[in-house]
Amino acid sequence: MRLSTFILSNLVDILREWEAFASTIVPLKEATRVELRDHAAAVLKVIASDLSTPQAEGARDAKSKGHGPILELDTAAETHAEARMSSGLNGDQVMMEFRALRASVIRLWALKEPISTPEEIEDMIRFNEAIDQAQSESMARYSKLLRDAQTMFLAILGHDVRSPLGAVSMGAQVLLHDQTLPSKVLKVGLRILNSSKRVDEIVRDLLDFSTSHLGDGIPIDPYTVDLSAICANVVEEARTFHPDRTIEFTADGDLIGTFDGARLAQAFSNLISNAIQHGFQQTSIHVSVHGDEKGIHFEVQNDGEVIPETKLRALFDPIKSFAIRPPSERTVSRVQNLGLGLYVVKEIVRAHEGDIAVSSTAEAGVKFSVDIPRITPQRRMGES
Amino acid sequence: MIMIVDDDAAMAEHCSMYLESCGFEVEVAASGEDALSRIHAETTDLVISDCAMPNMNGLELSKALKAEPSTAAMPILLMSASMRCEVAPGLSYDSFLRKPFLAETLLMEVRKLLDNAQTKPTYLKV
Repeated sequence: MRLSTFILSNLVDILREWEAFASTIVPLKEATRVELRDHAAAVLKVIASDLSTPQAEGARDAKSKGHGPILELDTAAETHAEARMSSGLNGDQVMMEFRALRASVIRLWALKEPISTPEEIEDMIRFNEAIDQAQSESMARYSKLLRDAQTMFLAILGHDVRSPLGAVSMGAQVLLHDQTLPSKVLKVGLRILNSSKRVDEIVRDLLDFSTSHLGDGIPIDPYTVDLSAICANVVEEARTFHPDRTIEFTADGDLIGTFDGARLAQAFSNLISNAIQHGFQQTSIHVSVHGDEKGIHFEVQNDGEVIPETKLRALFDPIKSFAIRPPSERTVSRVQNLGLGLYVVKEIVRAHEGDIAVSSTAEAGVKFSVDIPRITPQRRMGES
Repeated sequence: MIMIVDDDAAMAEHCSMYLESCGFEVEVAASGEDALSRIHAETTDLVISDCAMPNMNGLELSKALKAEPSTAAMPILLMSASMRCEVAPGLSYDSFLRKPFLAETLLMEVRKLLDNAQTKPTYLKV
């Protein structure tokens, strides 16, 4: 008997086996029969219909790699993934269901009669390809749902942390604005303000790191901005937060262009914060921005400890940076900064199709250089 | 008068204290509905509102004010702890600040919005 005929005429038995297996998965223990069978019948009917139509060699290869035809409507496997995620199944458990479905069909079919003819062997190969395709569709949908949920979760978390931080920061600034208060109070006010700024930066970098690591990079929204004013604001803000540090700033050339101003401000701010944090306290930090017809060149230089070559290479990758530390240096008490800020800078520069470089010598100190090309807004917005 | 709308009482009070210390007359509302019932074209020069509030949020408050002819020209500054509320500026509000922000930035925005407002500002205390 050809497999497509077998599936359609034995659907009830196959689904019973599927149901028995699915009920052993913990989140589905209390599930109803309808929930257990879910979209298995639909998946099998699609496969049976597929088996009964001829297939070209290219289609087989594509299907086995999970690159089957893209349909406008959701497939049964995709809908199944959504239902299983709602029921609380993890990705492995969804995969297990497809493995069980494959095993049930082949076992019941082989029990009925021996699989021996070339057509039946061909059917079995095509059935495996179709299950692979359904499994890929299901997992792709499951991963997307998970990614969307994580992104949304992180956005809400960021909002929930920043809300009270806004009140703390503004409270500190109210104190600092009242110069009649004792110097001790003003000093504490400045520390509260600086600490709240630091928490804000950590939360922002952590969210950017998490979401960009999920696959999409850091999104940018370019429009016409004046980077001279943006850089000046970032430097002014750093001076406000760190009145004890000297930050020298120069801006020249054409600095008006189509960039994501808020994101570049974040990148400049992270580089300046890095210099404040790691540079020698008593020396100046030099910030410069220059624009010409090719693009924008931004530099931050500070005097500081020479960074070894191996560390320099991993500076923009927090995971690698952490991994190359000796085991004794990987404890929470030893790691003061994960370097998420520099990762975010690299991602923002990359999103603008630019380059970032870092050098460190005893004579010239530590220098970060960023080059951002001038690219038409159409290209940046993905419209060409 | 500047109306500050935020369900976070500490944030609203701190903004109010800062702007008052800069010479502005300020009132505080804890919700969009409360603000809407107390905002009048004759007495309110500027509205500073949080975005995320239960029931009527900042954007809905802003839309309601822009839809009412007597308050349509009233400048509105929205603030939010979210990264992405600033999309589509000019739709129904005039400016946006992401929390936390520098008090000086708030002051700068307030002055800019009041200076740009068509009606003669009545916000400064004598």
